[in-house]
Amino acid sequence: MKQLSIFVFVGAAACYPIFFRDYWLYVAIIGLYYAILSSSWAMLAGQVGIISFAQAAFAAVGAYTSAILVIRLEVPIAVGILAGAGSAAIFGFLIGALTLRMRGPYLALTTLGFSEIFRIFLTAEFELTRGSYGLKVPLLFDGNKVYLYYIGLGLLSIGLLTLMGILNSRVGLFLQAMREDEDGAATRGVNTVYYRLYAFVVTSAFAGLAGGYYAHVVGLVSPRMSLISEMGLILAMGIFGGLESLLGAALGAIILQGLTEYLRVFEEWRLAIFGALVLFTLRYTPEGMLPKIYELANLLWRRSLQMMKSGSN
Amino acid sequence: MLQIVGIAKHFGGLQALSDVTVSFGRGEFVGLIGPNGSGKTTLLNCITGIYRPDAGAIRFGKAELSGLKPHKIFQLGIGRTFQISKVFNRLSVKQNLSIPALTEGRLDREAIDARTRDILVTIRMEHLAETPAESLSGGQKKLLEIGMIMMTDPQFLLLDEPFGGVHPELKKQLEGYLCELHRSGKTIILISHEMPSVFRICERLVVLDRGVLITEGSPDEIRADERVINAYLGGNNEA
Repeated sequence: MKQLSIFVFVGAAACYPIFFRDYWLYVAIIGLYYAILSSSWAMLAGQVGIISFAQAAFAAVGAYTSAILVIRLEVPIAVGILAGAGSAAIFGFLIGALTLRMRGPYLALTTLGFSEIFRIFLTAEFELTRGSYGLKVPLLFDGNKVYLYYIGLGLLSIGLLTLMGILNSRVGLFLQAMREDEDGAATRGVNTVYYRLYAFVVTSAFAGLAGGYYAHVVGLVSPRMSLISEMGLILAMGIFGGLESLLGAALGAIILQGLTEYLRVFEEWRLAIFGALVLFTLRYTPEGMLPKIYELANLLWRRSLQMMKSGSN
Repeated sequence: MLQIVGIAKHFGGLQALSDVTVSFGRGEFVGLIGPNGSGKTTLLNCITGIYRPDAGAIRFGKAELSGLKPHKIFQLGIGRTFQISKVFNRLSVKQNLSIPALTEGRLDREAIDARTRDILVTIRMEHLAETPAESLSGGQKKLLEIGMIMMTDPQFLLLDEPFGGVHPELKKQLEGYLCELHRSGKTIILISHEMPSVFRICERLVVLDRGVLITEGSPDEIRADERVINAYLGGNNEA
């Protein structure tokens, strides 16, 4: 059923470029980047119970890895993006190993610390990264938005199907058991150290993949990618869409990215509006908006069936 | 055989266990009793790898347990339940049961399903198979925990307050099930404050007080032991 929802979503999303071009297509492309980040973060936070603030930093790891490899070593962009995913996975492993014995706020603060250290490193290492000026990066397919859109959609689909495949396997059951009670899982045979690292590595790899893609979509990578406000945005997207549903978190990202454009006139106040939206979601629909969207769609479907019936009578 | 030799564990200024030495033989049914805060659960946590003892050794057959991770200890054949049930609330009863068997990787899906069905019948929860564990009563959660560890058929069962908060009817059922497991050759170490049950079903009792093993013996010997009476009534052990 969940896989089916992904296919329906991808099918519908595949039609988007037919109706929207240029500006709104570009907005959707950035939305796809955030959707990969938000869904991979939702996997970690909602399904495994690990609250990490490093997802944006892992995206920056992927983006800079790809940028540096493509610019300095002239590797093909696709190889750069894959290497970005790989280096983010390595960073994920290291952060996971560092925080093995940490839980709750201690773990969250450590990941926040990593994000800040990484951002400062990117700013300070001018020789390598050109500091806050950022690195100019070649564009994928010379910036052809339709191609970029479909590549983004493909990456998101791969991400969602992979993460959902994990959740539906025995590993997914172990991860959910760890979320419920880590000691309980460990004393029933779950190697919690291994699976915690596993979750960190997989979700970081997808963040790195998204970061690499983003670098060659925007054509510029800068330390801003690792800003706390960027992580706040990912967090807001995940919570708004629904932490316990990967597709929900992805949809949340796309909706909020669209909303960002509408709220552009409010400038920095946009984040305050998103904050209020997160508070509202947590207070009234803590399971996120996706179940509400399902309910609404169901209601509309039944109403239209009723109307068709009464019309035929 | 599970041998505990001189183990100690402290938390800050509190000495939770001091130089505890005790052995549990195969097929025994032992009650681990003592007043609140006497170190019973800490001892179980040390055996199952949740805590690492400050000193001493814990041997299970030829294996040294202290320093091993909890999942490794479980794989050696030591299953445990918790004072406050640690079932996985948002997973179904069936999923809860399947987890320990899936970790072993010894059984295929069909064998696990068959084993799950058997355990569901034994713990009388066939009708609750698809129910989320959070909907179960406290007593049912206790039963489910025992069912979970029985999925892999461990030799040693360490049960922490399995009768706590359980309805008398269910308690009777649980007592019967534990006796049945014991008859089938399992070693059971039972922590409980339900003295009538403990004295009725255990063959040997080990008594802890303030982290020290004060005595061990048959239920009749323990019943008559003055140190035990003092410990439970709050008297001075040295008096």
